Amino acid sequence: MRYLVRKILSLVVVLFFASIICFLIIHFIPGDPAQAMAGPGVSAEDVEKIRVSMGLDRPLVEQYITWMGDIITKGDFGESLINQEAIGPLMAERFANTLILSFCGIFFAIIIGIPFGIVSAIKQNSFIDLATMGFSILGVSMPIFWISLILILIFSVNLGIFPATGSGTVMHLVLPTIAIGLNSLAVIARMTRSSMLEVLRQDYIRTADAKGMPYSTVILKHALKNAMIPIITTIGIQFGYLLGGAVLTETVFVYPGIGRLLVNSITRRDYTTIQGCMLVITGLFVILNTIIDLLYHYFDPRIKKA
Amino acid sequence: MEDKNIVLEVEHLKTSFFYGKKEGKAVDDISFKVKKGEILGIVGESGSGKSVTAMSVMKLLGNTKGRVVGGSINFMGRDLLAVSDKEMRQIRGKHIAMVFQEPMTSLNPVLTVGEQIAETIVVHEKVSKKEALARAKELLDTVQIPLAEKRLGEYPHELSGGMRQRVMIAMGLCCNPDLIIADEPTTALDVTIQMQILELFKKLREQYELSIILITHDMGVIAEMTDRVMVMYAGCMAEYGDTATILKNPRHPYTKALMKAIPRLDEKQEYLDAIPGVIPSIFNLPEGCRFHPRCRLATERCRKERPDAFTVDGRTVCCFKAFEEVKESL
Ligand SMILES: Nc1ncnc2c1ncn2[C@@H]1O[C@H](COP(=O)(O)OP(=O)(O)O)[C@@H](O)[C@H]1O
Ligand code: SF4
Ligand SMILES: [Mg+2]
Repeated sequence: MRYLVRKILSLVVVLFFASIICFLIIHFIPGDPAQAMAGPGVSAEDVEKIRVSMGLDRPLVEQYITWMGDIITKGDFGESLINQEAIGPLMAERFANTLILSFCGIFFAIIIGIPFGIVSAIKQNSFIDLATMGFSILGVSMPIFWISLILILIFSVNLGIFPATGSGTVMHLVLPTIAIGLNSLAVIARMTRSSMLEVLRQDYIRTADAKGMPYSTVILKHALKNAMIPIITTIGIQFGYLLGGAVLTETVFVYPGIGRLLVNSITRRDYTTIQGCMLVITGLFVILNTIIDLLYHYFDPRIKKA
Repeated sequence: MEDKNIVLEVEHLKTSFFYGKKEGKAVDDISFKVKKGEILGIVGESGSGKSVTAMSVMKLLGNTKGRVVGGSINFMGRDLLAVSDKEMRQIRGKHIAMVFQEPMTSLNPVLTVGEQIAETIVVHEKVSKKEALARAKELLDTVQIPLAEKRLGEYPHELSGGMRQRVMIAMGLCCNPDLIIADEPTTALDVTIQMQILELFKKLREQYELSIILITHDMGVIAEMTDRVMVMYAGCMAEYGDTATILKNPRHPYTKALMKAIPRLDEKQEYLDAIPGVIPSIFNLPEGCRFHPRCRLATERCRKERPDAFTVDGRTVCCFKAFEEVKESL
C-alpha cells in the first residue's frame, strides 16, 4: 500500500516535468507560432494581434498555468492552429484508434510469442527452437515500415485478402496489427525462452518434479509464473514501443491514430496540436511504466517487503 | 521381491554424466536396501556421489547430462528404471518424497507455503483444495511450525531457513510416503536448528513407520540417527552394514578416517582434516581402488585392481587390506 502511494506520487512528479517539456517545445523549435498561424504575407501588426490573442505575449509561467489548468480542469487542450478544431476531442478519437491498434499488436505478440518461447525453452536446441529463434532474429531486425510494405504487397496487392489502407472494420486491422506486433512477438518469444531457461535450472523446479507435479503444471505453473516477471516488463516496454511505433505504421496504412495526427501536425506546424499529442504520448509512457512496476510487484511477492 | 519388509532395493547402480565423448562415473556399482521403518544413512565427503545416488532413485536426472547406465532400482516390487515419466510422477511425492539440501532455494518463491503443500495433496489424492489446505495446516503442526494457519498464507521469503526446511519436510510427508530421501537436510542450517530437524525425523519415523534415507557427510549424524549405513567414496561403496557394528569396529580405512573426523557439534570445523588430499573428479578417477591416492595403507595391488566386496560379521567392505586383516584373524 505504501508502495502504491509512493509510485503514484513519483508518477505525478514525472508527469509534471514531462508537461513542462512538452509545453516549452513550442518555444524551442524554430519558427514563430504566431507567424505560422497568421500565414505568409500578413503584416507585423496582425501577427502581433494574433500573438496577444493566443496569450503568447504573457510570461511563460502564466502561459503554462493557463494551458495545464485548462487541460486538468476542463480537459481542454486548446484549438488547432490550422482549423480551430478543439484538440481534446480530436485526440481522444485518434488516440482510441491507436490504442485499439496497439492492443491488437501486443495481444498478437503475446499469444504467439509466449507459447513459442516456452516450447523453445523446453525443447532447447530442437528444430522448433532453432526455427523460432531464427525467425525472431529476423523479426527483430526488420524495420516496421518494411514489414508493412511487404505485408501490403503480399496480402493486399497480390492476394487481395486484406485492405491495404483505411480503418473501420476488423479486416482493416489485420495487416497493421501484424506489422506492428511482429517485432514485439520476436522480442517476447526470445525473452520468454531465456527467462524460462533460467527458471528451469532453479532448485524449486526440481522440487516440483520431486513432489510429482504433472509436467504441464511444472512448466505452466511453477516455471512460467516465475519466468513471467521479466516477461511482463518486456511486454510493458514493448507496448510502449507499439504506441510510439504506431506513428510509422499508422502513416503507412493511412490509419487515423494519434501518431498520424502528430506527424500531420508537425508537417503543418500546428503547434498547439503538437503540444497536445506530445503530452498525451509521453504521459501515456509514464503511466504505462508505473503500471508495469505495479504488475511486477504483483508477480514477485519478494518485492513487497522492500 | 521376497521380503515384504524391503521398501527399496538398489543393485549395482551405475550413473554417469556425459560431456561430449567423456563419461564421468559419478556412481559406479552401488547396492543397498532400505527396510520398512528403518533409517539408512549414506555418508561420504562432498562429491562422493550421494546426491547423484538419490537423484537416480528419484529419476530426477532428466535436466542434467547424467543418466543411469546400469543396475536396477526396485521400489516396493516395481522396477523404477522401467516405469514411464508419467508413472514416475505418480510415485514421486506420493510414495517417495525428497527433502533437499538447499532449503533457501527449494521452495517456489512466487507461491504461498499453503499452496505448495496443498497442490501436492490435490495432485496425488484428488481431494478438494479446501480439504488439502486443511491438511496442510495439520502438517505444519506436525513439523512443529508455530502459527501454522498464518504461515499457510506466507511466501517462502518470509520464513527462516529452518522453517523452510520444515515446510519441505511437511511437503514430503503430505501423502504419507513409504520412503523419504533426505539429502543433507540440515547441512545448510545452524547447529541448534540442525538438532531440532533431526529430532523431528526421528519422531516422524516412529509415528509413521517411515523409511528414511538420510544423506550426510557427518559421521556424528550417522551415529545419532541411523540403523544402517553405507559409506561412499568417489562413486563406490566403501563399507555398508549395521551402523552399530561399523561404528564399533570400522574395517575400511576411509570409514576409519571419517570417524576420526567427526566434527564436534559445538564448533564449525572443516571435516576430514584427518585425510590428506581431495576427492577425485569423476572425469579423472584413479585406477584400482579409488581411495588409493589418499590411503596410507595402499599397496601396488590397490593401485591396479579394484577391490571386490566381501562380507564379514554382517557388514560389507571393499578393501584389500581389510580382507587380509580378516583372513589373518581367522
Ligand atoms: N550435473 C552434473 N554434471 C556433471 N557432474 C556432476 C553433476 N552432478 C554431480 N556431478 C558430479 O558427480 C559427483 C558426485 O556428486 P554428488 O552426488 O553431488 O556428490 P555428494 O552429494 O556426495 O556431495 C561429483 O564429482 C560431481 O561433480
Ligand atoms: S583397497 Fe587398498 S587403497 Fe583401497 S582402501 Fe583398502 S588398502 Fe586403501
Ligand atoms: Mg550432495
